[in-house]
Amino acid sequence: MTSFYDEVEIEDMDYDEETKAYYYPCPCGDKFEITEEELRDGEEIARCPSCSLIIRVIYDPDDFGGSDVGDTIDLASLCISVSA
Amino acid sequence: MSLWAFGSNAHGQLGVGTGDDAHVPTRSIFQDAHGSTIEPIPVSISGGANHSVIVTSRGEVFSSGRNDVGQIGLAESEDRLVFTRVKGIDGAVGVSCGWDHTAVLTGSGEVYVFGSNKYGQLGVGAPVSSTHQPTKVPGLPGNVKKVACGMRFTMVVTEDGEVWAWGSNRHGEVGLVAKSAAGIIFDPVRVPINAVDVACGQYHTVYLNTDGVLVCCGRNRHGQLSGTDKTITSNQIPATKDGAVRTIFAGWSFSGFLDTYSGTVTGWGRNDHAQLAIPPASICASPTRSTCLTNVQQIACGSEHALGLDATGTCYAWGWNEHGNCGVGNTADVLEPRAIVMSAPVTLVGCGYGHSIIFTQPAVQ
Repeated sequence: MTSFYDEVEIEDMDYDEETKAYYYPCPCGDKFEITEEELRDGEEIARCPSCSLIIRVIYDPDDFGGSDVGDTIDLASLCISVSA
Repeated sequence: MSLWAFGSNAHGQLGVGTGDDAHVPTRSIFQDAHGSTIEPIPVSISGGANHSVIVTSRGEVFSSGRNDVGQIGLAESEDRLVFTRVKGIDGAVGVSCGWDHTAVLTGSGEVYVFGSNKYGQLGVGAPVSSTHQPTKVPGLPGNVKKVACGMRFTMVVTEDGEVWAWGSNRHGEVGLVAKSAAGIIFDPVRVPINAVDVACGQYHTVYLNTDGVLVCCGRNRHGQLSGTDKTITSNQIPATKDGAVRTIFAGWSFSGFLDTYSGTVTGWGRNDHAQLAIPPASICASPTRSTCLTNVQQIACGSEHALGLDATGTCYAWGWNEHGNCGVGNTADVLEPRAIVMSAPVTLVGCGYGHSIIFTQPAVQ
């Protein structure tokens, strides 16, 4: 069984424009981290680079485009229509 | 006389001259303005995520660790690996640190702050994002006797029992005041309570009011306000029968008090790593006295560990220990308080989030 340090809502995490990742304080003094790309892939575990603790991120996959094939096609067709 | 540090040292917060973690007490180094090693006597010790700040018996302030947002109050933004004198504050008597900010109390009852102000935790107004320069908090009564920093907020108590607070209030951690839209208080506000002591965690605060009642505000996700209802944002714990609370304490998600006469430790809240010095369980919802500790005179909390100093000068550590922050020579959680082996009596203890700092007097010959 995976043991999470905490379950954290995405709204409670800090977003960094530069790294395109979400962060949350870890008790070791570093920060749990999960990238936008990982969230799009359906990942829900944010890890701390400095210790073994992990958190579960609570978020709505729809907010990140999801990994659903249908969504990807919709997004692609949208891009084509914009560039046309 | 020596200062010893152990635990996480990612940015030099142990002040031992390196950036490596230490799993046993390791001698910290103080340097004066000329780079010479000195041995001041600490009277107050605190630390945040990656920094440590120490007040000496001469009212000086020394700091070590990360300084990207000025949390150690030195001009350069580079990490400091040894304790270095902070200029601009005289007559300091106490210090408390948040994640990346610092509040220093002076003997004349004033409060100086430095570090991040992203969440208003400096109380110097919204336009300041951070400062490396110790800055006096404006608008406070001049008789502050206690400062306590939560992760992203700051509290002070005056000699008259007034409480003033500023910083993040997203989870109601300040309590008793109206929540602003963004959950941030940029300028000090008076909290409507008369208190004699305050302790701050990650997202919660414990007040000891003048009637001896413990008033807890903020998040209760881990029982840190006591009680099993995780959705409440305030709770009260009745005064002890003899009203004998020496001091109150708070880790990130746990809380408690020291009894004046017996020196026992009573706690509630998160206990998955035995943060309360009682057998581990995810949450301890009711105030519970540890049977392991007596005669404790001082207590200091990290994020998920704690130190207790008893009247004989023995320092005990317990809780989460992944970075060796309990100082017992390994990184396994300390599920029952263990004495840290020292050759001289310990007289002062302090904690950062993932690190610990203790001071020893010379051994009696």
